[in-house]
Formats: sequence, C-alpha cells, structure tokens
Amino acid sequence: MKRIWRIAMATALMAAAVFVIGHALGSGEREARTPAATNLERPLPILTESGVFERSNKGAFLKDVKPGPGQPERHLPAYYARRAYPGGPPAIPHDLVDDKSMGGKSCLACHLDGGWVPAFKAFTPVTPHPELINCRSCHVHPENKGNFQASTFQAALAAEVPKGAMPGAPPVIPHELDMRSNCLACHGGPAAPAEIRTSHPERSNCRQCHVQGAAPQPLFSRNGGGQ
Amino acid sequence: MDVPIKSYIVWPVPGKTSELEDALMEMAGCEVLPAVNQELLLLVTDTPDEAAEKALCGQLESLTTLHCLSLVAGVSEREAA
Amino acid sequence: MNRRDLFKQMVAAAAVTAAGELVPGVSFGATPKVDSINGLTWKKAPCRFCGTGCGLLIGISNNRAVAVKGDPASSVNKGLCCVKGYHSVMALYGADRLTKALVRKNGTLVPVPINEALDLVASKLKENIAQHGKDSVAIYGSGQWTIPDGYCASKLFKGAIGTNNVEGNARLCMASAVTGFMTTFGLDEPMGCYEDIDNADVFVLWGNNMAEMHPVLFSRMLERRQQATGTLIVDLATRTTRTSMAADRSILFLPQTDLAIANAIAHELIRNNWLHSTFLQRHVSFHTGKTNIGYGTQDKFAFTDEPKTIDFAAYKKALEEYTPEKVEKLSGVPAREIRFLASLYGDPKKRVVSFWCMGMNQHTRGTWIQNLVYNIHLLTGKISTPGNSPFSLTGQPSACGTVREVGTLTNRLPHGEVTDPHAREMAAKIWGVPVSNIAPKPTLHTVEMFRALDRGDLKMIWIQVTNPMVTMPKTTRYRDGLKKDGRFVVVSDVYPTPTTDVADVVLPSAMWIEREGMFGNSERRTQHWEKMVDPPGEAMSDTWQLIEVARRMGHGKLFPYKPETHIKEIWEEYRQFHHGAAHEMASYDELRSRPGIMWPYVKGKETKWRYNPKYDPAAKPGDTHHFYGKPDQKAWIWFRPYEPAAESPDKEYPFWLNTGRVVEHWHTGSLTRRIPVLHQAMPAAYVELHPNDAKKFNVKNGDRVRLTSRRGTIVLPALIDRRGRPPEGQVFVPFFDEHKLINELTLDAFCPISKQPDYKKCAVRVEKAV
Repeated sequence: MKRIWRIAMATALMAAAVFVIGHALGSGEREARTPAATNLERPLPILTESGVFERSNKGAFLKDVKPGPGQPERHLPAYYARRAYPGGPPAIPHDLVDDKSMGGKSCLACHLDGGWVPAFKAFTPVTPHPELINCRSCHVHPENKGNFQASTFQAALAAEVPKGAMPGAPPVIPHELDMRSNCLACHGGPAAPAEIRTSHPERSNCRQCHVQGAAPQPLFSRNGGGQ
Repeated sequence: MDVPIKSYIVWPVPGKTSELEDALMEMAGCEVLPAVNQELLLLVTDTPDEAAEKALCGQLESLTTLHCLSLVAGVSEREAA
Repeated sequence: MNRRDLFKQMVAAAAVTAAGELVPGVSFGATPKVDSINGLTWKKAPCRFCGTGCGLLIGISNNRAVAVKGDPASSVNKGLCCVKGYHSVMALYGADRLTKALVRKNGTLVPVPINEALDLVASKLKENIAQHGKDSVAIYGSGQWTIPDGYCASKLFKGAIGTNNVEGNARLCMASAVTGFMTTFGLDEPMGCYEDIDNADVFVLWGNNMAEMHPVLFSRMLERRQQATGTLIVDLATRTTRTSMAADRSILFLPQTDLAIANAIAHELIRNNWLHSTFLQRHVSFHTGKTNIGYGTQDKFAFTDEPKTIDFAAYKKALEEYTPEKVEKLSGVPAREIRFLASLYGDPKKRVVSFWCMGMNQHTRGTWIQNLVYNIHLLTGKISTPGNSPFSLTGQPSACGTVREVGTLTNRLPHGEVTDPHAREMAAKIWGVPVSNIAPKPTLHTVEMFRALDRGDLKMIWIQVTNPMVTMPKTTRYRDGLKKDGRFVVVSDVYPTPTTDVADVVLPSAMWIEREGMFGNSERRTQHWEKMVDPPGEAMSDTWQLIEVARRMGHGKLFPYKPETHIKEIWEEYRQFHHGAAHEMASYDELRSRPGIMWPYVKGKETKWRYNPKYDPAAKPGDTHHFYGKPDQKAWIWFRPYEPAAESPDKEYPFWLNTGRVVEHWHTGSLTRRIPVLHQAMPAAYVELHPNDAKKFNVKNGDRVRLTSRRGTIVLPALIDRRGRPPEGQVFVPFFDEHKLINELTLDAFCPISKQPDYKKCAVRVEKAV
C-alpha cells in the first residue's frame, strides 16, 4: 500500500510540475519527462500463461517414456470417469498415505513427476498445478460407493478431441485454461490418456501452435461481426 | 426478426428434381442449393415473421414434386445474441 | 455481409455436412473436390507472416492450397511452424476476397474490368505529374512486398518518374534498426544468424515478447536451454507476458528507461573492467552526436545529426552519471538487477545474444537504443562469433529483403543512399535511365508522407500490401486527410480493409503463392517460391500491376519483362546491384532449388557471421574481426544519453498506453481474422490492466473500459491477468482489430534519426465505461 502511495505521490508531483511549467501539450515539440519511479514489482506468474512452460524441462525425457509391454495405457473414458463432469477435480482412486498430511509431502511425492506403480499396474497422472499443495481441498477420496439419495445430475458432455482445420494442422485447445494451463501434465508422458497424448512433448511452447478454441465465435465480418 | 433461419435437406420425387428446384426458387424467402451428383436439394429459409413462416410451410407441403423434407438447423437472432 | 447472411451460411453449412453424412459422396458444387492428404503435391514457400522466414511446404490439390507442413529442410524452422504458419493458406480463401478492380463513382466503389482501373491509375499519375510536378505522387508499400514488387516500385518511381516519394511500412517497423546498423557499423542488417541461438549461454530479450511474436525462434531458444544446462533467458520488459513466464529472470522497467539501463550496464562493465581491451583497441572508435533532438510531432520536422569523434576517456566520463543507483530511481529496476545484467555481459566465458524487435524500434530514441545495445556487445567484444550476437528481429516477411535490401525508402536506392552519387550512377546504369532522373535528396518519410497528403502537398498515393488506416499513429488525422477533395488514393490489396474504404481505386492483388516471388528474412536469407495456385478472378500480382501501369505511362522499355519469366528477369537485373563480396546474392536458379540462401553468398558459400574473417569473404584475414562498413574500418561506440518519451503520463492522462500484437493475429488482422481458427481464438481487441488498477476502477474481466488520449477515445473490454499484465499505471492494447482502432489514440512522435514512430508510449486516461 505504501508503495502505491509513493507512486501516486510521484505522479501527482510530476503532473503538478508539468502544469506549472504550463506546456501546451499536444502542439509541436515540448519538453517531456518520465516520472521518477519507485521499484517495479517483481513479475508474478500469470496463471493461464505460465503453465505451458511448467514441465518444459521434462519434454525431451517424456518423449522417450512410453508404456511398455504389460503397462496398460490410460484412455479417455477412464479419465472422465474419475470426474463428476469434464473439468471437475478427479477423485482419489487409491488409499491415502496419511489422512492428515498436506499434499506437498505426500501426494506430490508421486503426482509431481509420475511414473509406473507396479502395485496399481498404472502410470501416475501428473498434477497440472503442483503449486497448490492443499490437494484434498478439491480431491476427495470416495469411502464408499453408495448414495444418500439418488441424483438426477447430468454431466456436461466432454469436448470432442478436435481435429486440425486441415490435415496436419495443429488442433485447437477445446477447454479453458484456468487450472489447466500446464499442457504437458495431462498431454505428455505415459500417464496421459492415449487419445490426447502429444507426439512431440519436446516442443515446449505448445501455444505457439495450439490456440484457444473452447468458446465458439461467429466468423469475422467487417460489418460488426466477430464482436 | 425472431423467426429462425432454417436449413432443410429436400428429397424430390424421383425425376422431378429440376422442377422442384424451380418451384422453390420462385418462393419468397427460399434459397436453394442443388447437389451436383445426386437427386437432392438443400433449402435455406428466411422469413420475416410467424405468419410468413406458416404460409411458407403450407406452400412447401402443397408441392407435389417434393417427396420428403428434413430440418437440419435453425438460428434466430435472439439465440445468437 | 450482415448477420442474417452469416446465419444463412451457418445453417447451409450444417445442411451440407448433414447431407454428406446421409448420402456419402454427395457434392453441392460449391466445395471443390480435393485429394486426400496422401495425394497432394507439396511445394516450398517461406511463410507469409513474420520476419522469421520459416520454410513451409504447401499441399496443393486441384489448384487449391489445402494443407501446410513445416519444411524439415529449412534451417530456419526445421519442420516446426507457429499457429499462423500452419493455417497460413486459409488466408487465401476468405469469402470477401477482392476479385475485381473497384473504382469510386459518385461516392461508391463499383466493379470495373481491371484494365480500365489500370488505365485510370496511369492517367491519374500522368495528370498529377503534369499539373503538380513529379513529387506530387507517391507509392507506399510494405515489408510484405516481394523483392520483385519493391524493385519495380523503386524503378518506376525513383528511376522512371524521378521522385523519391517511395516508402514502405517498414518505416513504422524497422527504420530504427536500419539507422542503428548504419550509425554503428555503416552497413545494414544483422552480422549473425539464427545459429547463434544454438551456441549462446545467455539470452537477453530487450522489450521483446518473443514467445508470441517470434514463437519458432523462441522455441529454438527453449530447446537450447533444455540441451545446455545453465543457459539463461532474461526477459527485460515493460510488461509481464508469456515470455516472462518462460524466462529464468524477468525484469520490468519503466517505459523509455531502457536508454538509461543500457548506459548503466556499460558503466558497470567499465567500472569492473569487464572489457575486451584488445578488441576495443583494434576494432572500435568512440563517437557522440546531438542531444535534445526532439520528437517530430510538428509537420515538416527536420533533423540532421552532427557526429563528433571522442576518445574512450570522454566516453567513460559521459557515462559517469549512469550509476546503477541513479538509474534505479529512473527506471524502477533495482541496482542489483542492473549489476546482474552487466555481470552476464561482462563474463568472458558466457556467450550472449541480445534479441529485440518493436520495443527498441518503435521508440522516439530508437536509433540511440540500438547504438547503446551494440555498445555493450562491442565493449565486451561479444559480436560476430557463434553465440555472441546483438540480433535485431523483423516483423514482416521481407522487411529485410525488400524494404532494406531493395531500398524502398525515400532515402535509399537498391545499393546505397540517394545522396551518394555512386549509388545514383549505379542505379541509372542498371535501370537504363539518365542519372539526372534520380533525385539526389530524400523527400517524404512515411509520417510526413501522410501529413503531406493531409496538407495537400501530395496529391496521389498508391498503397500496396499494407493497411495504414489501421497502422498509422494518430489515425484520425491521416484518414481525414486521405478523404479530402483533390487526393487520389489507389490501394492494391486482397481483402477490403479500412484503407480500401477510403480508396478511389482498389486493385485486386494476387497474394503469396498465387504468384511467384522472393522474400528476405531477418538473418539475410533470401527465399524463393513458385506460383502454386491461380489467383481468384482478375487478381494480379503487385509486380505485374506496377509493370502494367509503367507501360501505360510510356515507360514500357524500362519494363520489358515477359509474363512467364518476369520474376527471373527482374531478379537477375536486381542482383547486379549487390555484386561483390560484401553483399553478393545467389542466382535465380540456385534460389529456386534450395529452401533459402543467406547473403553474402560468394563462390557457393553462405556467410553466417559477417565481419568475422573466418566466415566472411569480405573481411580482411589476419585478425578476429574486420568492420569494413565505416570509413575508419571500425565499429562505432556512441555515447547517447537518456532522454524522456515524447508524452508521459500526467494528472489529466495518468496512464502509459502500450500497443502491440498477439500470437494469433498478424499486424492489422486483414489476413488472420479471415482464418476461422485464429479469429475464434482471439476475436477482438481488449485492454490489459494491472489487477490493482482494475480494482481501483471497479473493473472485472470483460467489463467495458474507456481509454482517452489527447487524440482520441475508445471503449474496450478489460482483460485482467490473462495474456499479459502491465505494471500499475500502464495499459496494453493489441492493434489487430479494425473495429477497435487503438492507433486513433497513439501519438505520431518519431525518432528524429530513423523517423520511426513510437507506438509503445503515450499518455491516456482510463475510466470504467457505462
């Protein structure tokens, strides 16, 4: 707050100075000056932008890690079956290490980088948001399969896996990016569902080719279309 | 302008395709796209109000060269807004 | 097209799809038959968009472009593209493509046969020249002109008509890079090449959101970091972006203070004696020029620098006031960060690449900031060796190839300045015109060209491949100017735009792979492509439009080219300008057979690093470097001070406005907005605010925000913490959206040396719109 005030003060003083000098602004040459600055903030991550590079250092490694013989691949139906609706937080399908712990020490031990777990005969899915370590604020562990009351809830349909606009063209991203901007977490490596696993995890700037296509828009038209 | 713009697939009575195409092109609010390799037409209708829409439906039903009509899509200003 | 027409198209398309599912193989004629992906013919072309110059392979079927892949044989991109490249061919097929010439009759544009329109253009040119003199007509092209387009434009206007009223929109884009190279090295264009990326240890990005603007090169840099541990990417910027997210270190500075930061880095290099002293002694001389050089905001502004040679001691003394602590106060960058930057440049074991593009070019001290960054590389001797490279990136596919190498700027000829008698003699000889035809003085640079149209000094302008009614700063003045009585505006383009809206004649152009051509990219690479598909309707290449008009004006014997071979004839004629080790170009046949060749191309060998005798045949052997561009055979270090921006925030207009691009759209969006994938991903312009400012104005994502400058006002939806985040007190707006013309707010102040406007800094007021 103090910093904001200082910037405000500096701006106000600067404005006053310009006013006193009485320059006719906008007409011809004039003296110009930059306000004295207090230090700018250290850049903080922009969540929808930063994730794309989150696992880029793993890309080259992921390219070579493929399910081997006797290591079944995951598929989309199983992926969606863990969620109440597409984009919902998946439930925890296995027993917990420790019911009290924060995720940083327990969940992330496996879900940060993934890997083959012989006991479950499955690859560990990787979390797209390892910075959020209170995992179980969203991910629950179903203790039984019964219901208190039957539900009539019907989940939205999952987006279809898009094709490119032309043969060979990169498909668009059919989902929003909030909490899901870390592309390689879900699309790279052996735990990624086969239908959406990228063939080229080593190319880390995913969004240079794959752009948003989640919300349908009318086509561009000069007469006010596309607005 | 709340009457939707609609598109239909139109099957003509066999052998009557071009006759049907001409008849549809005569009707107000109709645009026709004939298939080049099949006896099949696409119809796009754009009517100003409910009454015109009803009248058009009546006209379509009365066409003897039309074998069958199936609605594909409709968009209205209100839905799109 | 109105909304209802759009809906009709939508429902009709749905019916076509449904019918296709019910009756497999049914065809409605409207959609031409194309082969499956495995039955295509693939042909090479450089990408149509930015200056990276990625090699593409275009899949052709039945006279249509139907698919794209990255060319694995291209050393630029090695098979990778960005989203614009992958969808580039779709830019040919927008439904409102211009296929007929249009002429304004009684206030409206009506279709006419193209020959009638070409007749009119030629007769209007002749009429204006006869009545008002040869300097009453002008041509304004762009860095998207192919090399033959720009060459014919220069030959017609500078050689045949005899006016230097030839400009390109690269004046708005690359002019400061050119004057930077010329003042420091005496020769234009980068000394290094993209292979520097594969050899560097440190990358410093000066105001350059490369992740979105040069994504393929950015990915190559990320790949380098993956392969060589310890590689460092430093993002030095005025705004937090996707690039900042990928960088190892992100440093924010206040607008315009890059000048002070660069000087502070030099100050620290000297204070710590992190200098390459033998390099300095042998290859560098020290200079200074005028200060308080103005901003060019008034009409007919003129400036000539007065260079003075100084010595190292004087240079060192001039830098004294740029201590990191003092610069911290000005720039907002902590002194320790400045020292950190100096330590990277100063470490003799680290190879450093500096990248920049519009942040340093669109700058009222654009030439100075280029000089200052070269200074850092020269003080440390980090130049012209693999991985040591001050690297100016370009934004257009042939800003280098056409505007800079052909010289489609008022002050340039295909080889040298118009003021240089040798350059004029060479041009007269190759063109076959009397040397007296070629005017010895520059006339109007771009901003002044549009001011002259407004004032009425200039009567007629022919605009090709560019959209100035979206890109000119302070657009309103220049649009009103073009609409005045007594002005005649010809526009060659492929789609209707806000510029064709104000035209008296619109000529439909054949674009890119609908004709043969060459582009030249940022690393001196010339790339040829052949005609792959027919242009629609009467559309004609810009080259051929110029030839047709030249013939109608009676200059036919200067343009004797045959339709089937004209590109080859033009190339071989143009190539004569560049004979010699310093600039030799490859032959037409070689260009045709390879995915791009870097000049100087001597005895079948490309030059990867200029001024380095190991690689450059023009450099004298016997030393590590030879800077042969300047008369003293040295690279010039310039002392250039910090001077403030032309307009800074004040009480009435308390925010900085910054403008730029997004990854999906290229420039004014006239092509990319007609590519459904790209438009849908980024349908409209927005204004980025810092979250604290948004809170202050009670603005949420998507709320309407009004921006007002001294020149105009606009309402935009707010975007908070999505694509980018400006610091408090600053806003950012992309300029691609013709429905939200942010350049109506920007200021037409420019660098007095390069005459390039500053689109990155002006003052605005921010309000929540009701």
